[in-house]
Amino acid sequence: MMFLVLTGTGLMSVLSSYSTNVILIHVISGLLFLLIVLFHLRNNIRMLLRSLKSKGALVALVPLSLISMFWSATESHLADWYFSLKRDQPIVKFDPLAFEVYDKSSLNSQKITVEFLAGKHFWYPQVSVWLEDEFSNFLQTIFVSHSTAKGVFYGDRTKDNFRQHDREKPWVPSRSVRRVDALPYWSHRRGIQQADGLYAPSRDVPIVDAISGATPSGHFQLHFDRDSLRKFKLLVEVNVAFDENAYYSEFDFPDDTSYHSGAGLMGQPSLVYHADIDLGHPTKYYLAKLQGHGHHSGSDGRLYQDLQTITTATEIFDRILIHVQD
Amino acid sequence: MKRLILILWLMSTVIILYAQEAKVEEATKPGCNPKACGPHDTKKQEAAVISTLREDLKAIDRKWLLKNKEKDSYQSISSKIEKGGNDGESLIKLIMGAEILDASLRFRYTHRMVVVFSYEGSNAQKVQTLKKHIALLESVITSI
Repeated sequence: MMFLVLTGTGLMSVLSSYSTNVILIHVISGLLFLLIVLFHLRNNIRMLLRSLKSKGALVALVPLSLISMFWSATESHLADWYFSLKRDQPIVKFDPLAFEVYDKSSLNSQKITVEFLAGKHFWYPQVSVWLEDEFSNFLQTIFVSHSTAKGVFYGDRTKDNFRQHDREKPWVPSRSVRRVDALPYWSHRRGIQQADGLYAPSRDVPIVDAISGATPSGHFQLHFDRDSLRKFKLLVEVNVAFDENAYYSEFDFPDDTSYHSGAGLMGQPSLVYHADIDLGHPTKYYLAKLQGHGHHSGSDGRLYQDLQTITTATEIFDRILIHVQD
Repeated sequence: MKRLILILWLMSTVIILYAQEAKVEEATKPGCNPKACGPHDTKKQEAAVISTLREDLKAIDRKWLLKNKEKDSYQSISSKIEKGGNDGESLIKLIMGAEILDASLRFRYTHRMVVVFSYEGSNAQKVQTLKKHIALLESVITSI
């Protein structure tokens, strides 16, 4: 029975889409089989040693040697073949209805999809997505969430009331504030300085609707057209307000007035993720990796790579997956 | 024995599959449930700056206990500056501890204690003032 299960799940894992359940059954069955073998060896060790001394053992060793030789010669080819089957399959399939969709692509075009899976500490994040060439030169912004794009933040949101505020009147500004720290790395990379000297878009010079979108409230997907570029970097900057921790709290940065004024300023800084995309490579799925964080109050556009003081902010997204269509 | 292994195998498979299904269901739910997600409970530890200030204050308290040969009424402030119910409370305890040390030093070394610290403003400003206060206390004790 164990052989049957192992063979069945083994074949299923190779021939069909990736399934954690199939792999789990395969692994558990394999471990139990190993356990049975060990148990069997323990009970029959004397008989085994006796039979090894006989001529029959030598006969049995010949096919075993041949099998191991064949295996060592073909193992890498088999592995390559297996991974070529699996390379373009997403690990988990999600219900497309579970995602908010921001479609910035044109009809009948080849698309790139960026899929954001909301994590434990996801709460109406400010998000920007942009492209840079392989030499890290800024190319274009693909998406910016509404508040940052339009320079509209809400003065009434506080550390104590923001959850209720966001549920009851999320987009009703009663007192807007100029906020500078939401996505400082992106705004400095973009390099458009406003009249007040800040780089974040303002109400007077907002980002156009074609690029902006409502602040996401859960898992979301962003579609945009494939460019003529073959190699580029896709970057994502994300920030959630009020996610203070031991290093970014009301007790820190006393001299930084930007940090201690306005709405939602206290908390961990923005995080920057990136993925190197190579359209010439057969890979169609890329996972964005955490690269660093922005300045805690947006005072500069540097990327800080020391992530020791960052805690829950890394759980805003469970993962960011980029899918390149053929 | 074979039956036992078979039962164990079936049971473990069922349990792990059930757990796996629940995990996948949680990960694929439509959007983030506002009750379950969000920036709550993000600050699990005491503000690092408060912990550092407490350690600094305890260190100069120890120094002063060693150097205070007069054996006057000064008692260690260590127990008075332990962690409070929240960071705000802890900060107040630290400020009070610094004031006790300050009073003990000022009583005898008035000429060295030339600055008076006033704890006003936001918590961050109070932290800043406390840092300066501790630096002065330390320099006075070191110079004695």
